[in-house]
Amino acid sequence: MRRRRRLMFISQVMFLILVLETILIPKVRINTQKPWAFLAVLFIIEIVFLMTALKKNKVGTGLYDIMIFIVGILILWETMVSILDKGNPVLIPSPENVCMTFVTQWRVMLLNVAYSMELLGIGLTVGLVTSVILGIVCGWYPRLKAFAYPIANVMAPIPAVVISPYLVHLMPSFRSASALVVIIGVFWPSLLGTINRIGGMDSQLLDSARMLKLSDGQMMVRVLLPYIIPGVLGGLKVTMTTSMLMLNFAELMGATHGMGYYIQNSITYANYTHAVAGIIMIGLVVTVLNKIISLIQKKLIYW
Amino acid sequence: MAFIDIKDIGFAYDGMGEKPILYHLSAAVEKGEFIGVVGPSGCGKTTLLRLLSGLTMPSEGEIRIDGRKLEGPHEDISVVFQEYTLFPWLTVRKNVEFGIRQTHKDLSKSQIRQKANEYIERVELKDAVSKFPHQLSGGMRQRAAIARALAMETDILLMDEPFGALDVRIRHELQTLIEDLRNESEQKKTVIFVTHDISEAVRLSDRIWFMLPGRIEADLPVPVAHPRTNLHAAEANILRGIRCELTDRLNIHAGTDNEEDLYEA
Repeated sequence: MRRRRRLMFISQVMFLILVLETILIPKVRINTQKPWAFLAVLFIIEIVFLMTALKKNKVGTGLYDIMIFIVGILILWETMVSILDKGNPVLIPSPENVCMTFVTQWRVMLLNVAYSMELLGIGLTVGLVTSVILGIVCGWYPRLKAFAYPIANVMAPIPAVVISPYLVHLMPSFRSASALVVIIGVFWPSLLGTINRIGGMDSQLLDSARMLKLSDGQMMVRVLLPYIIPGVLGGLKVTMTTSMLMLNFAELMGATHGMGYYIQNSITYANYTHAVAGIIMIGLVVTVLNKIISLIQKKLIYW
Repeated sequence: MAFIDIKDIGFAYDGMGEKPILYHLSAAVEKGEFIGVVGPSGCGKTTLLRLLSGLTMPSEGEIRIDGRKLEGPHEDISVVFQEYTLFPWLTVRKNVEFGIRQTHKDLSKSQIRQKANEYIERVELKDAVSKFPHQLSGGMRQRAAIARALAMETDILLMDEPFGALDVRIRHELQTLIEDLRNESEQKKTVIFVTHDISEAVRLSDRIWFMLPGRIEADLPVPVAHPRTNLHAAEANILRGIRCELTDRLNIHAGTDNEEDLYEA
């Protein structure tokens, strides 16, 4: 408890230092924007931190460590870049300018996020649904397993991003190529995982189900599917993060929309302020998606 | 012809060479009998039960249930395993209903629920109907598994060390439950009950098969009426005698160094 209080005190003192230096110390870096957008971001971070710290009684010291780390990085960034004007002014933008990008560019960013999310949603859904269905069927029938398992074993470790340049040329549109990259990236590892989960099913549970004289269809839908759902949802966060990575990589190849495109386009025009804002945006989107997945897991895996 | 007719069966796992788990094993069980199966570890008790359930097929010989050759899991057989085999994603009630739905396809939803409630009440789990298996204690989970097996209302109930993982008090409680359920029923189920616990076998069984590796070494009747509580001195002596005989047989086996001798005996 004392340790937690001490960490809370440190984090709040650091936060105060950051706010005061942002408001009071004059900026040497030319073209530094007004600090209100940066301050707004800081207060959002502080509110989220305080709400989490106060809501969860059993919150560990990790939360405080993270807050101290984030505020520490921001103090360093503000001091070195905005106040002391260290580093290349084109390559390393000030935090004020990056935060202001969220205000000036919010429509463009939102549009690109929506575009990426649509492709991610399609790719993730198609990839997961097909792999889980096929995985259950292949896991249940030994002959199909003997056929599919070695193929999945070879295909799963191949990163889908490696074939994305080829798919961009192969598919009729960039959109379909991006979706296919995500589908392939999700499908093989998930198929392999599903077959493995079915193979590793507790033998007595399986025998118990067999003794209920279920048909193959009933066995797959009423026993195997609910059995593997926790595993599939458990791996969903990793699957989603890698899918996002694959999608953003694919979007670098010549897309006209999407977060990957936004960053690539900003870099092409040497607008690194927008590029950094885009990178932060991807981090925020992934964090929100992870939170949503956690909620889905809690809702669906009630046993 | 006996209700369960085990005819000269043998079983060996692939890749185990010449050494079978069971060989030339024959036995018969009459309808309504309670057979206890005891024997040292690795003698083939569980394998015999798996063969009787139809989950595994014998390498040679055959098993007939009411005259029909057993060729896989049978509609007249339910099994209670040692580990908790309730579906973790279903509540106690849904688990029991699941079993009923499979064996009573003609029943309506409300009839299935009524039957489930009836059996859940019989195993005294009325207050836990909406709980998931992970919310139950070991004894409660096994009660629920027994309720599911009983609710299927099959003629044959196979039990593979169902109380093996439970502490002595809960084991005793569940033995009483099994005894009570059996005495309450008008039409007694045929039960084959594998156990390591000699006292448990003596308390519950009409006959005890003492197994040594690969075969049934002795078929011992237990000529004392149920329930076997508050017994007369003579009855208690009979049970004590059977317990001693089984213990002696186990001790003799434990003292036999050369397993091959047992196969040849």
